[in-house]
Amino acid sequence: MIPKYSLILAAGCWLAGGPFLSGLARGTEPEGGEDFFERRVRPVLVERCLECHGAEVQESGLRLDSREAMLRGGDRGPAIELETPQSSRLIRAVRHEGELKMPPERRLLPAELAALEAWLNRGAPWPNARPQLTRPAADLAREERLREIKARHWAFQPVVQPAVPTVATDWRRNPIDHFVWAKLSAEGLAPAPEASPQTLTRRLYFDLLGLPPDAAALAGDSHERTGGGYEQLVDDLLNRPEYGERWARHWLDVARYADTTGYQEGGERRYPFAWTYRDYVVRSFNEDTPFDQFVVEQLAADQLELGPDQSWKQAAMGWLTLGPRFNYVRHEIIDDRIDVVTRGFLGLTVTCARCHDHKYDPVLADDYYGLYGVFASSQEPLYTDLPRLGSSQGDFARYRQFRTRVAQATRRFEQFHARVHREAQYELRSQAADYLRYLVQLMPAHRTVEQPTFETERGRIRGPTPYGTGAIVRWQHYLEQRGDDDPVFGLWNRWSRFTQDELAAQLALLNAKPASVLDDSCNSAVRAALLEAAPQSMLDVAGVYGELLERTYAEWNDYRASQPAATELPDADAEQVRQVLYADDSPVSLNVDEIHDCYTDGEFGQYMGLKRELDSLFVEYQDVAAPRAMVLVDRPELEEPRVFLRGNATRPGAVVERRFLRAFAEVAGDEPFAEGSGRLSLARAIASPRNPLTARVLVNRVWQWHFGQGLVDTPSDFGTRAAVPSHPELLDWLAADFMAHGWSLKRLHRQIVTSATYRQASQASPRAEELDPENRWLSHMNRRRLGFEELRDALLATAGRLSPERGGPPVDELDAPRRSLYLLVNRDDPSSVRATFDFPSADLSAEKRVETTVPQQALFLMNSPFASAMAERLLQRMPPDLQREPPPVRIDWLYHQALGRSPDERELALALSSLASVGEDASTTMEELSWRDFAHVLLMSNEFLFVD
Amino acid sequence: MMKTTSAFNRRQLLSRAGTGLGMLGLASLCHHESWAAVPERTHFAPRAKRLIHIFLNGGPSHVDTFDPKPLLAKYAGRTLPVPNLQTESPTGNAFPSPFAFERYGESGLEVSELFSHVGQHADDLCVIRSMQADIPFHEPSLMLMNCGESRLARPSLGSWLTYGLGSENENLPAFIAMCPGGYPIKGPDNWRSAFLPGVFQGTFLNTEESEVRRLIDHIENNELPAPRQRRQLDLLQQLNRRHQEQRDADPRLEARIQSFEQAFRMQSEALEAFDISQEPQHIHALYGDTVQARQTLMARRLVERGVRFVQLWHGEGQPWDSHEQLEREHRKLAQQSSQAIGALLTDLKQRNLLDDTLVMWGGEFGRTPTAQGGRGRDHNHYGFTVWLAGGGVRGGTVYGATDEFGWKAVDKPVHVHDLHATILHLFGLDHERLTYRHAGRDFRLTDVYGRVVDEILA
Repeated sequence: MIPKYSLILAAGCWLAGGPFLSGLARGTEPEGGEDFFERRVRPVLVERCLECHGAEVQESGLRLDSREAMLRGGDRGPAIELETPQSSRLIRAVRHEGELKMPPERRLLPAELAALEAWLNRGAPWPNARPQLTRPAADLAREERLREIKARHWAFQPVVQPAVPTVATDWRRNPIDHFVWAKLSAEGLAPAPEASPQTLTRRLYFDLLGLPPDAAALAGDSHERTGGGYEQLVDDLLNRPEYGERWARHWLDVARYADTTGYQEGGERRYPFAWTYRDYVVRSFNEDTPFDQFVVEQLAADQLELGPDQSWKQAAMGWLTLGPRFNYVRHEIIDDRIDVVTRGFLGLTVTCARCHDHKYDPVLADDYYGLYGVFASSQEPLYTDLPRLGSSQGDFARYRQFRTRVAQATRRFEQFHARVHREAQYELRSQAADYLRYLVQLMPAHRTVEQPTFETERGRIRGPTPYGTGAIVRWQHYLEQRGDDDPVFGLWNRWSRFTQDELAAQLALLNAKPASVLDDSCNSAVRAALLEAAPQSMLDVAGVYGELLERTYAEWNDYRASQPAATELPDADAEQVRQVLYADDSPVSLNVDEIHDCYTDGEFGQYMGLKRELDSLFVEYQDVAAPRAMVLVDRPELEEPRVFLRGNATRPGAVVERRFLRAFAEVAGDEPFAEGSGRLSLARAIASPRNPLTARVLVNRVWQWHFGQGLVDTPSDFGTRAAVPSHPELLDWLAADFMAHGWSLKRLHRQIVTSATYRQASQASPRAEELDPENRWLSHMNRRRLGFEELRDALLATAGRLSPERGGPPVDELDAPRRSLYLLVNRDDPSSVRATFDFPSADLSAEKRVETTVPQQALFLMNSPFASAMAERLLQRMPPDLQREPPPVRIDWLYHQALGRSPDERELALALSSLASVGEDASTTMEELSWRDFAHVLLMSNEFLFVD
Repeated sequence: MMKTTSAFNRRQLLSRAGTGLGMLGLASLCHHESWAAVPERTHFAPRAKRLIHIFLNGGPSHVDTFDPKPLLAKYAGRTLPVPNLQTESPTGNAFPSPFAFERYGESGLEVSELFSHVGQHADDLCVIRSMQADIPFHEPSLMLMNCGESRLARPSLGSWLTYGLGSENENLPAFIAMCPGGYPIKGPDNWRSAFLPGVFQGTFLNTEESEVRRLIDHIENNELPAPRQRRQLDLLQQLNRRHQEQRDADPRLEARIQSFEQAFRMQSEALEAFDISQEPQHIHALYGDTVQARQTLMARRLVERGVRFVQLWHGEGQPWDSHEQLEREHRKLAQQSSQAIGALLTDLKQRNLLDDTLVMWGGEFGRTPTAQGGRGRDHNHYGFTVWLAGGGVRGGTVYGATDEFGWKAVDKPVHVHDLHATILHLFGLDHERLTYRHAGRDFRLTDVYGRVVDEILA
């Protein structure tokens, strides 16, 4: 039986277009047989066939990496027939003529097919010098391709600060305007006039704080606007704590932030401390933490020397740990982390390389699995072991109760660990034969069944599960480390490489003439066992080895019963066999951490049950529990990642190094990560000023959050398929300037919002409307609708209801007076109101928010109790003396509160007439209601909902 | 992307491509282009305009409903001569269907007693007996059936359809998922829009709630009488017009103005659409009086009003997951829905709606021909049945077959991706061209897979 989920093939990253055939395009010299093979055929085999029919994997027992192997063929018979080349199985399969259609997913291109046919017609010449296609040859082609892709694409080149263009115009306030002007004039466009002071003030407030200006700010500002007034306002706003709250939310979109795990079977779905990450982001923005430092903290705060006043920064790692949990399937959790890191920081879609090398960008599958290894070598401590960020609080008796219950749950946890450790340890040693037999079923030449199964007569062996790598891979790894001269497993290794016939001959010889097969280096216990059992096949050999190990285990247990102090068996050869089960590098000697990787589905279920019990205590007692940082730490034993062929975890391929993307060796050196899991090195590589992507990607995001549209319109994809930058020089200038000035976000904001470009009115000229409807060239500012948070916060602020409380656990009620940032983000139940207002899904890192206009938004504004309560509150705020004034005065006051200005005559007349029409035959209460209706109208108006 | 008109910027296009909801008002900015002009937006002439998906969540047994396997009786209580395939848990001996099958219609299609009401429409059914999914587990199979991908967050079929086609009624949500009692397993993931804009997400309604007013968020103002609200909106729109005049008629401002008008109309229209009490007695009698019948009747009212996609889940959790006591469980579940499904087909037909309304029936997978716990069946993704009716499919046909025991699709297998490709095709959409750019590549419902099953097209 195959474990749950292992049947799930990883989804192919779908990419159109043919494979890159470096050999096909080049070379005009006459093609001799071998040359033809090298140029035209080898690339096809490497790219299209060997993944499943190569040295590592042989589907249907077929290898296509040597002429001999092709002639020998696989389970279905020879792959090529030299007599009748065109009816060869290989050709029929790639032509999709018969039932067998290869490659299964994408047919060969006509040119590739033609090359194979021509080569067969020539008698399938294969260069003798390299009888097999080895990995290095294939790797060479792949790395060459990597270099070519990288060399061609702008975003992969070092950031060099371009010169600021000289422009003949007074329309400029800082270098940004030079670049923008140059483009505008080249396109035959002119910039819009500067927006009015009121418009600019309102724009700045929403942009920098996410809140409307209060009436005083607008009034005070408009007559004071001279000289440094605007700049002063910008500085003031950037220094307000609301700035961090506003900009943190932008970042949380990228971070796919949520307070819950997303779908899982049963148990607690709330993260009790997700909010500590949210608060960390707010504080980092407010303190203007240099962005490079911000990157490093989010990836590896656990490995930084943080002083006591910086311990809050440990919460940074929520960036990694707050993703969806995919029902705790480990590969998906890691995939999510790779995605958020690479798209989020680098604008690279690295997860496309999960199943095969990236088809467009310089990312190999090896790179993906290199990063996979980094995260697989990291683990999340239990909540009890997470670093505290503050002290416990609230009712002490309740806190004590919490501690007691945690202690009980922890004890159950430890007892469980100890029990499973004991049982698994016993099982792995006492059933060693089952594991060795399973390994034989993975050998194409020796397997006896189509579908190897983990079920044995003695129960189920510990294969890979969705949650752990299992024990089989440990055996694989152990045996790979044994040389052919290993006294115990040397024979095993040599024999496992034989074909079935060759092995049969060897085993026959073993019976007839042992000395010719068994040399002196062979362990005598192994020798005796083999001679006694007279195995006929590799499966038999596995039985012999396994039973020997199991016998030795039993013998050792007996011996120890009589000699409790013994540390080894008296017989040296028996002891050598025992070492397989007990040495430090033994595949079956596990510590508690390693055993976690070998849990069965059932044990994992029990483990999760206990963990959830513990987790839910932290949610239940949130009011008293000390807040903690949701960190990752390095595992004591690091994981050697292997490429999963086609992304399928049940098909582990070659071991790869934990390292940074190899195409970007200039960033991190050409070496694997040396320290621990490599997370810190990865962070440093991303935050390096030599990294061509990080600063560009960030600067572009910030630009987008200011203007509604990035200079590159695909902010999380700067790869070769990215949108063409509208102002490439400006992007590079900003990126270089950003890095040269300490990666300061506040400085970047200042630069952008004080530019003449930003200060333009949001009115497009007819000419701009026609020539540049998308406003790529920035001939005016973009008008925008308030986002969900801004709208809700603006309603609360205008109603005088907005609580100044900052930070802390999320609130779950839409009506609560807290800023929207502090509302619970529930992955399981995307609140319909928020989704209606284009709040992004927290399942994926979001690069930008779409802006839709749908009637459900209007329904919310018209009919929700929240909206009408805000209108009511606004009305209640009216000072008592004003309430006795005539309607125009009251209308004027309401206009100032909601829209920051007085109504014009027409508006006043409209208001008066509709107020009158409602109030005509109404009592006082009816009139009051109508005033609320009127206040409500202002809060629904386009002027309230849009920022010019 | 779909064909675009160059004069529009992307933002507008996005709203335009939206559900009719997103579309309202945008029609006027698109030079009064009629949204109903759907064929212009499709890749080829559509056969279906609306889809009702009856989702028997949990997995109905095909050998007990639409795929009779008489040979099972021969091996009753004994092991089958072929090895049991691996499913969620090991299964035991052959378990012949406890239900009688009968031939119906001119086509002589075989349907079990469970769905005799559906059998009456045999000549309209296209029964695909060779469906295949990937995995014998609920969650990934639900995701596959709904979103075309087992594990990763991808948009649902309904989101793709509404993204591609919009709605025919601006005053109703274009994509509605109904389930009595609460969420099915995986909840809103089943109708999510993922990286498609949020407007394409399905609107969920718990149809256990019989009070129509409580079905849709904010559909009604509890404080303002309608005439007063109308006056309020009149003032709002006058102020908005004035605001807009000073801003050169920005189309987004216009869209917003229109969205309030649309919302106002929706209040009455949506309430009316869901209000089955307006149906005459004989219609109620036709459908029956279960909660499933109620939502099935709602579905008819909705598609009649131009809703693009209505998904009818049988109930909260996974009701059709009969691991034990299958006979009792399946009989009970079928009694709750069979009459209503038959009624739906009758009703659509008598209103001339069946021609361009596609009805789909099925679960996330089928069940094993072998027994579990003596009287139940395990999940079976190797072979199962989905049937289609109306909307341009060939009625009275059986397509594909499972092996003689019903284990596995052996003749003309139809993978879920193929089903999706075929559905999109019926709606005039080429599954390889209905794409959306996200995270650096063009995504589609069928990923790299999918084959249109031409043979079942009428």
